[in-house]
Amino acid sequence: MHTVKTINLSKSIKKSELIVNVNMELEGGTIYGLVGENGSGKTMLFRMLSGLVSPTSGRIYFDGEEVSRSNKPNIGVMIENASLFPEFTAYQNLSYLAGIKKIVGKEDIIQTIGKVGLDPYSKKTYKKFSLGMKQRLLLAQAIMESPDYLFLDEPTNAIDQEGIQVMHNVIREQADRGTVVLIASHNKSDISQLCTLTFRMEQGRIEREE
Amino acid sequence: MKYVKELAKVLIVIPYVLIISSTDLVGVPFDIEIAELLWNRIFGVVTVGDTKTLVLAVQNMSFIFLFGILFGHFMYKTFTVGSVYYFSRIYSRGYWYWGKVVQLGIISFLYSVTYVMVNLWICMRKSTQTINHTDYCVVLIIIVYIAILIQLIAVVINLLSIKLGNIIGFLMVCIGIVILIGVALSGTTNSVIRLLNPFMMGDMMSLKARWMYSKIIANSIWVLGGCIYGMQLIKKKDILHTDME
Repeated sequence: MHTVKTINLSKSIKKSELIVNVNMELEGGTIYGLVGENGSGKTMLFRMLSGLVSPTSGRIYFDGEEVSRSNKPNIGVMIENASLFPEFTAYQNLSYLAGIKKIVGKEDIIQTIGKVGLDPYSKKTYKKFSLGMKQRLLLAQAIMESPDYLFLDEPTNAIDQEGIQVMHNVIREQADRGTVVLIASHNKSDISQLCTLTFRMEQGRIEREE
Repeated sequence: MKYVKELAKVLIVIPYVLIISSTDLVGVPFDIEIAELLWNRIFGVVTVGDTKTLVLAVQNMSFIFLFGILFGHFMYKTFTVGSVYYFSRIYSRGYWYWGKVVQLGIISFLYSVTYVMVNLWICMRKSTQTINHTDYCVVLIIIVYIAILIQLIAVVINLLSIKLGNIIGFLMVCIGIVILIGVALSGTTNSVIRLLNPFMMGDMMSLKARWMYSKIIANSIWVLGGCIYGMQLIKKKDILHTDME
């Protein structure tokens, strides 16, 4: 079973403490929620878990091992406001990103785009997408390589009710595969309908919500 | 497709050189060695006291700035749009970086070959003499020298852009180049400065092969040092910004 464990994870930038001693244990097959005010450190924690930001101190273990050259975890991530390539279509965006790991092919990409309710053959470029369509495509890029760890920051932001249901089904499907899923959301239905356990972040500190 | 785009950018230097050299193409040929003409075209000659010194001076610098404009964002652009989804996927930032450095090295070499060859063609038209073995050696040395120099400049622009932003990075490199040219034009006799300043080639009348090789090695050390510093920067670089449109 896949696991993620953080030990005293901290991040400071210019003397400002953004993440303070975060200790967390996540297991595959469970969907975890992360709630908190804007600026509480949720996105920073996601960036650290995804290897985009290095911690000032503390450690992150995936399946009991620290990230190294021989142990690069298969992570899917979706960060709020982080754009894909505006001049590319949905297919071109995913195809470009799939070229990095080279573990999925054309058919997988087409299938994933369809799964989130978008047209894989559309010539519409990302910059012309509505916010909801962008969110769907971001979820598609996060899940396309069947990640073992899925970190989703506000996945249902700006999505209509029908779209939310599609997104929820996709996320549940990932958890059913044994993926570790962590979702940050201001949408109460995301947390209540999807998550088994919830953490609350306040000023960079984390605690489990009862 | 990606490589075709980069190659097309390299070839921009051909019309560029032909346009800025249009007056040279119509003049009467001189009885001067092709190698000497080429040195003077690519480097400028500055007279300090009795010594004529070859300096890569401002009037000959535009091809370097052109390269900086074309490839100054070669690595940096990956840190702008789509960076979150790109860097969360790559296996190792170190491997990615050295791959980019090698690609930039190949591009620099192709750009240098193209630039020097167009200039050689112009020099052959301007000289009444035929090309000889010495001329070929000079061409080879200049190609290698220019390739290393522009790779160094492009790497530094990219790294400073990643650290400080594209405009600041480019401006800082321009300021650095102006300072180094200023030192070169001052005609210093300090051999260490002459060796380490990539914009100062040496005494025109006494260019020895050994000195040229030393200059190439010195420039290579600059490139290697810059690249090693760059690796540390890339590894530690936090992808913090969001790519909001």
